[in-house]
Amino acid sequence: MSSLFRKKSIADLEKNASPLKRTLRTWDLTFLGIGAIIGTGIFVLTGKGALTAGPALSVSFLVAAICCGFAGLCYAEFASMAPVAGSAYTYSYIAFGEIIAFIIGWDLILEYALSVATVSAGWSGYFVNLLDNLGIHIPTILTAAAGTTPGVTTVFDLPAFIVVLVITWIISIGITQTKRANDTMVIIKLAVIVLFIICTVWFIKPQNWHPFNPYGLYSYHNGTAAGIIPAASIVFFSFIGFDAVSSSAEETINPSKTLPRGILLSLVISTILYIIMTLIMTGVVPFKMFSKYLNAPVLAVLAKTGQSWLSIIVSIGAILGMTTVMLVQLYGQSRISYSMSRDGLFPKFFGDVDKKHQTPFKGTWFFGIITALAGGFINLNILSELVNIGTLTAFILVSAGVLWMRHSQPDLHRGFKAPGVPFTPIIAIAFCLVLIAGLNWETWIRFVIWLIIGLCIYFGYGRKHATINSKH
Amino acid sequence: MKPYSRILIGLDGSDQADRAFNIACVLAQVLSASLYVVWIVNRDRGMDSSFGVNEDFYRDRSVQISAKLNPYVKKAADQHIDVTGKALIGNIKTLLAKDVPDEYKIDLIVLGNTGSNMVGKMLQGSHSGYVIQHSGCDVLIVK
Repeated sequence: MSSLFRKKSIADLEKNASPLKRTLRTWDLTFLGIGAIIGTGIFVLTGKGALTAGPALSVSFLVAAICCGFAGLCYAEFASMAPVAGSAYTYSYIAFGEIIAFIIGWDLILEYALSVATVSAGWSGYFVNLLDNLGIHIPTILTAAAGTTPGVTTVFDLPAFIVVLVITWIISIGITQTKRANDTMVIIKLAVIVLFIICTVWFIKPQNWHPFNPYGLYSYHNGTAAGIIPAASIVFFSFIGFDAVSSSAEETINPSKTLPRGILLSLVISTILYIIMTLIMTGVVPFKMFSKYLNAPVLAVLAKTGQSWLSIIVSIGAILGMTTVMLVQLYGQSRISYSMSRDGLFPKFFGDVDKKHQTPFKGTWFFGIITALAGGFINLNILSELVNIGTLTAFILVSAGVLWMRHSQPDLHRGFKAPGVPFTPIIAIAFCLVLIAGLNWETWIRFVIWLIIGLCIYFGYGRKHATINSKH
Repeated sequence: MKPYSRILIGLDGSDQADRAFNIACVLAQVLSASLYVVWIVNRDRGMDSSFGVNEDFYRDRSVQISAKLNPYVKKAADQHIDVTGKALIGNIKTLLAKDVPDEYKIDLIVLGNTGSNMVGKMLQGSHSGYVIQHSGCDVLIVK
């Protein structure tokens, strides 16, 4: 039994490590956080969120943000336990042992692959609209996955499928984007959001806000969960990436003060933007209308106000922003499967680094094709919920880990200590559980099936092939 | 007066970079200059993502590159050159053009004209081109 929890030693990780320079201050962290947060969720999932909670979606954003705040503090402590950079997967291999590490890694593979697929569906929604504005029409049947819009027959999302393959190819030949390119994209996304707010706020009809909270905190409507909590579970997606701040403890000046401030400020600022956005969206358009614009909800508002010039600008901004997000996520996807393969938990195929391009070429293509197919065939509702349950589970494991490590290894190096332990991790876990509960039960089943497949791989392959075997 | 006393050479495993290395050795010997051999794992901060999933990859590459760097350092040391080898992780362009030269007070950068393939050049521009434009010291490109 104990071999299930066999651990990597921290000394292995510290070999060849060069210490990072401490350069980040509160505002650097805040910008880093806002940059990681803002963008895809608001362009992609506000439609589904509005259908689930009505105008009270604005409250859902607040709930999701609070969850992220607590989880972010816990992850910050977890990520600073080893004084070198590593993934959550590697840290948990050191802290808790192999099987937990495998579960976290397997979980992150789900998160990454399907969040790319989710974003690709939104990308396609804005891309098809842009082409429409330019007078080019793609057959409707090829514009979205089956079951996206009620009453409209769609089968396959061709633009989503193609864009994921193109991005896979870009990553596989070793092209990456610089910090500056990424920052530029963040500013474009922010500019589009601010422009949208300024131009559409005048079209709000307050009667659209009545009833403000049509489905209460949690209820069951037309076969799906509805209300503030289920909507919070959906828009949690909009905050994914915020933990970029958490993993910067070793690069931060005075982390015990700066990190919580950075996490708090970036969450507060982006939540305020999100709340303003959703109030405008549900104020201009009666929320039920969003069912026709599931992939590109922001465009529902602009169709209503008749600002087609603005919808072109918003579409271009959203397309650019989402392209870079997919680039980053697919890259992460190929790297997490690389890490697991290197440790022998996955076949060598995924960790094989191509000589010419210096990338895990085969693994990148393997998951790129699967992700493209997922984006082409599976609709947004299913995809986004699975991403969220994967991420929430990872945060539960991390928060529980912080509690456990404080108890079992109180003297370990910690670059950052989360304030308010044990309450902070307990609150984080509670919030994550509430958000998981708010997802549809079909998602729980799909996730459990995913975990069972993972455990089959672990016991059938990983356990025997783990490179840690040869060291003991 | 010596024209150059601290020479930086960037390696990437390509034939051109190897040629550049040989030329840098000759220069270092003739000028009795110190030689700084660096090999950089490209890590663009624009690719950072959730749960730090990329970090293991960079670290592994850096460990492998440190090993590959050794024969070069030895070869230079055998020619009685004062040589320092470094495997680094970071943005190749800014490290080569600015950070490394600043840290070691480099006065000549020697690079092979390799860079990436056509698509890479179109999207990112070549490394040597960037260094020529942005570095504060002289640059020698070996074709």
